[in-house]
Amino acid sequence: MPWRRLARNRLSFAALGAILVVTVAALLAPWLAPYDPDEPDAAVALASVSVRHPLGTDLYGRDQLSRLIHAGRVDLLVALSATAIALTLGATLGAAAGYRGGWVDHLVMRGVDAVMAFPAFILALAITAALGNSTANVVAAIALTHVPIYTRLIRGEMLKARETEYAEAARTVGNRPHQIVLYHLFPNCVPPLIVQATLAMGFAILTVAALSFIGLGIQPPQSEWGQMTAEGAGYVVSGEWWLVLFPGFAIMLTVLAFNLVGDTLRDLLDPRMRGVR
Amino acid sequence: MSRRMNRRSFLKGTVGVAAIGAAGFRPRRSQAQDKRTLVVAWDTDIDTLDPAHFKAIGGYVTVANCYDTLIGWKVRPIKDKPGFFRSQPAEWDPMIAESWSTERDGATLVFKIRKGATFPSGRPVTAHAAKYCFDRGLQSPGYMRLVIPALIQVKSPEQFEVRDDYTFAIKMEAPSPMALDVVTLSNNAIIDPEEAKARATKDDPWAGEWLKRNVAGVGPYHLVKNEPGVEVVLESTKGYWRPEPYFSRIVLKFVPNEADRVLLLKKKAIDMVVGRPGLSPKNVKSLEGEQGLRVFQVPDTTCHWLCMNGGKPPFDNKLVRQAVNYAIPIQAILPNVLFGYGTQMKSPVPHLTPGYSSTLSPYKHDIEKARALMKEAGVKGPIPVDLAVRVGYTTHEAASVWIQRELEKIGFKVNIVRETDATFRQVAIKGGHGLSLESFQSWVNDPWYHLVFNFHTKSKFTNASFYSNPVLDKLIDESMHETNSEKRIGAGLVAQKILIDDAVWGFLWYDSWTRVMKADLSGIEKRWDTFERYYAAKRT
Amino acid sequence: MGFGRYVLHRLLLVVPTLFGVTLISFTLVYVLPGNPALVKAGSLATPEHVAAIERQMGLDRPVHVQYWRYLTGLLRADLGESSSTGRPVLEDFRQRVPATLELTLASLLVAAAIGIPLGVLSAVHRDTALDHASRLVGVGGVAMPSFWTGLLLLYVFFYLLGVAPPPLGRIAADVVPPTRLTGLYVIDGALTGHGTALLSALHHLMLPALTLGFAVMAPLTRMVRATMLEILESDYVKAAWAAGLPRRRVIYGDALRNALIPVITLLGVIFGFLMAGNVVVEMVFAWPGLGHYAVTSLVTKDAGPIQSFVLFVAVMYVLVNLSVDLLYGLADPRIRLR
Repeated sequence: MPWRRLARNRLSFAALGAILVVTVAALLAPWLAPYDPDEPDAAVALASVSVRHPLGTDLYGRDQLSRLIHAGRVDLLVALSATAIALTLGATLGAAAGYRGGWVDHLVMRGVDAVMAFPAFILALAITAALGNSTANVVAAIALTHVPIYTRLIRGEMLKARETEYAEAARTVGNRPHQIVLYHLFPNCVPPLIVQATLAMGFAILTVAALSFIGLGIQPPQSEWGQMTAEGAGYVVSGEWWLVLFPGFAIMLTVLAFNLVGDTLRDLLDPRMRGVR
Repeated sequence: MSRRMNRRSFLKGTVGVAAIGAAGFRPRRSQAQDKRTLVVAWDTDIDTLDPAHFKAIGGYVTVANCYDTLIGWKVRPIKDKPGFFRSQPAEWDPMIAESWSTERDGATLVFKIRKGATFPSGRPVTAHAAKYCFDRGLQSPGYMRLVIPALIQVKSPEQFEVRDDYTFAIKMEAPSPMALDVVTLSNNAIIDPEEAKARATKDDPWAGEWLKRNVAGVGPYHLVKNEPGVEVVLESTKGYWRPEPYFSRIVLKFVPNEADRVLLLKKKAIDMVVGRPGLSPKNVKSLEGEQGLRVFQVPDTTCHWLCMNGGKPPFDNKLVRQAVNYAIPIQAILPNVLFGYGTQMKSPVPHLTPGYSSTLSPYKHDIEKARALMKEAGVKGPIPVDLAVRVGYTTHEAASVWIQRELEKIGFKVNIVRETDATFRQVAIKGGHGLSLESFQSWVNDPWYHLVFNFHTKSKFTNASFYSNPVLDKLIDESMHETNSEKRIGAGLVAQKILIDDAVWGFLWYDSWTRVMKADLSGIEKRWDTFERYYAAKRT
Repeated sequence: MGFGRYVLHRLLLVVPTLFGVTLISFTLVYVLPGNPALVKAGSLATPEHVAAIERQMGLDRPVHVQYWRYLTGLLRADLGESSSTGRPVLEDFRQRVPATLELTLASLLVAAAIGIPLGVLSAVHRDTALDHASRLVGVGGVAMPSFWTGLLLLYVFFYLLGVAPPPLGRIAADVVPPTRLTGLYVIDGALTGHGTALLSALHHLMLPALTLGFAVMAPLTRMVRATMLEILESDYVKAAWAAGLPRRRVIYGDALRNALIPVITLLGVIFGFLMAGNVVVEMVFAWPGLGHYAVTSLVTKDAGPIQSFVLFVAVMYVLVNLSVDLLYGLADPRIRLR
């Protein structure tokens, strides 16, 4: 049973726990956060860690813990939607390319090549700048840069599976192409897709954070981890460390958790890839 | 060499580097040389050096120090602020023109050009150079092509007249009260005509391409280095017509992060921070009282307001606009956003402008009154509205947070949107903003200069609230070039009343012009255009 | 397929990719919101004045004409102009590429110097505490956003310990940069014997290079560890051990050399990491390189530099991937058949 083996690996279990905690915190943010994340309070501006404000306050005196919790919502939501969109789009394109072959395959793969001619982050950067930096556009940019991963993965699996005996059998029984793809070939691709998607979540969060850090991602006053780090970055040279430490730590913890779970899933579900990367 | 020795010398190396770190801020050059170098931090590049063009601050400051104009704004010492000076309304100093007079009841301005001033090329500065500069402004694809006809009523180059080598005249269609201010703008700086003409081409008869990157003027400084993103260096010009300035070298270092600019000031590694704003009010406040530093603040003509798009519901309703004015938490913004470096805006014109009245505005923070007005206006909440602010305008971003809170109390659902300068302007011009934070600084300190650009129906690109009132338009048209100062002031009061009653803007604040600098600096001058000239700066 | 034909085939494939790249870089800027002509025109501009500037910038022409002008411009090495510096983009690039190159090389050096030995040791001492630590560095390095790493290093080494310089570029404010030979301050400083500049440049390079190096190190360590493990399990190594060859020589001689070959395939990934890293690390340390230039241009919507930066990175990336394929084809003939 994969689940039991997952649990046995203590580190992965801890990672799964971390993901759970972050997710629950994000879902229950309005109830969990001790303060309104946008409420300025000039009396406590730039206050350090204290009992009233466990993670300190920012320039406007807003509670950092509350902002951190609400920011988690944005990060997770953006990463999740980008991954879901990329997976759906990428898998569909990959299936079409792999199953149909011919000009469909050519067209899809040339498109994939063009996207992959850019380092993912640089492309995401350029797209958010070009589309304008709204949250939806950040999602779109990250999704687009992630599409090739899934397209190539599914296409490869399709090419292999197409020639197998059960695909042949399904065809002879008179199944329509989309039925063959959906019910017979696709299930084989699910495990590697899950692995990829988990790992991609980590990359997506890093990308949102980095985009927001340089001012091109999620815009204030909406809080987001990378953007919170950016707001605090100016105060590092004067010693106000709490503005930077906590949001950065949240990013690292979440990304690390997704990566660890992804690695473990890969070892469990997709043994061929073990040790690579 | 033995392995152990190797390691030892390696260790010594690291200690050496660390020691430099500790000494990193201490000046290593000779004290005397340092004394005559002014090191300034800013966060702007030079986009163009063409005087006639609209420019980034980096371009303006460089031009203001490398080019002289015919006349300059006169500065006078500020009471209780030794070492600081500011310009006064309607007072000028001779510069390239040693004197000036009027003819035809003020419709002609005559400038006597100083003898003995020379361009760096050695050629004398003459009336021909003055004419070239104004001809160029009127005809080259720059900014003056718009300003000259509108403000000084000159439409054709024939109206710029050389009477003899040292007499230059401007023949306006009618007396223009703003003429001397316009002549003073650094945009009308005197260019060496021979240098420019040598670079002119058929497609570029005014040598715009060359003047964009090169300086050809008579001025106390000249440009010796321009490395974008790193630094700009100016050095004093030999043979300048005035005595040599105290500072022989001005280094303008590009420091993009504000926190670093603060740090450099604290460590005394730089002499001052310039730019607009250069330092946010909060940081200026934190440097107040810092050993060895000095904060200079003087009231300025920059207006900041909550812009309501009069062409868009519900802001086409005067009652809603009035309600917004009662909802603005100005008493919280002044200490928490401006930290005292600004005052409440009580009129649509700047408080330093002739004719300004502080007693016309009834607006103050009063949520009950605001709610009542909203009710009277008959608009039902919650009304979703975007509030646009420009990226990098720290006071606007902070103020928007405070304004958002209060507007939500009177039935708005405010979404703050950050836009870059280019996007902001484009959206604004197309009337895409509902609410936005705008600012305007009038280089010409005249009520009608300010009013025509901000409120006249035909000022399509600057009338950001899309205000259109035939009565006011008529008043502006009649008063723009009115020479009787009593009439000008009287009409100005009427205009203020109309605009306040119509609640065209959400009145916010007037900025103070602030500079933080080393305590030994003096001779810092603030002029109407806000760009500092370093000629008079010195150490005490 | 012979190697010569393989090279030709691979080179021909680059052409459509490069064409696609110019199409994308052009489109990105074409759809860029905000009208640059408005900013250039200034606040008192009239519609006619803005239209004149648009004409001057060629913004009023149809899309395909603009694209054609862009392409032909590229062939003449005309990358357009930056509206914030008022200079040709090429000139700005010439000034900024050395800064980025210096940082990139230094961080690669850091990554290789720490990452490779760590990967080897981790494989050799598999499942020991050292191995666990190195694996944690491997996953942690990927998970840590480099802007955060940089800020933490700044806090510790600049604010607390005072041994690092403030994050203000490549050289101390009061040190005159060395005469430009290569544009890399460290090399120029050493070549011209300008000791002060050399030390100051090294000093300023320290934290940014560590930050970026750390980000690149993670995949390197993982790769070296994985291939090293594979090789140590191989029959060849087992045979060598059985034959009584000294352990150290086997590990650090043949095994390591073979383990480093697959690292070539990582160059593409590493380049991607480096470019992404450069952008944020240059922001943190106010490093006057290409990344900083790109972000400033993106924020101000300065079309010329954005277009050129995106194109430059893509072309470099394509070339890196091309050389990876060629090198690998040379090392492993089986690849060419695919």
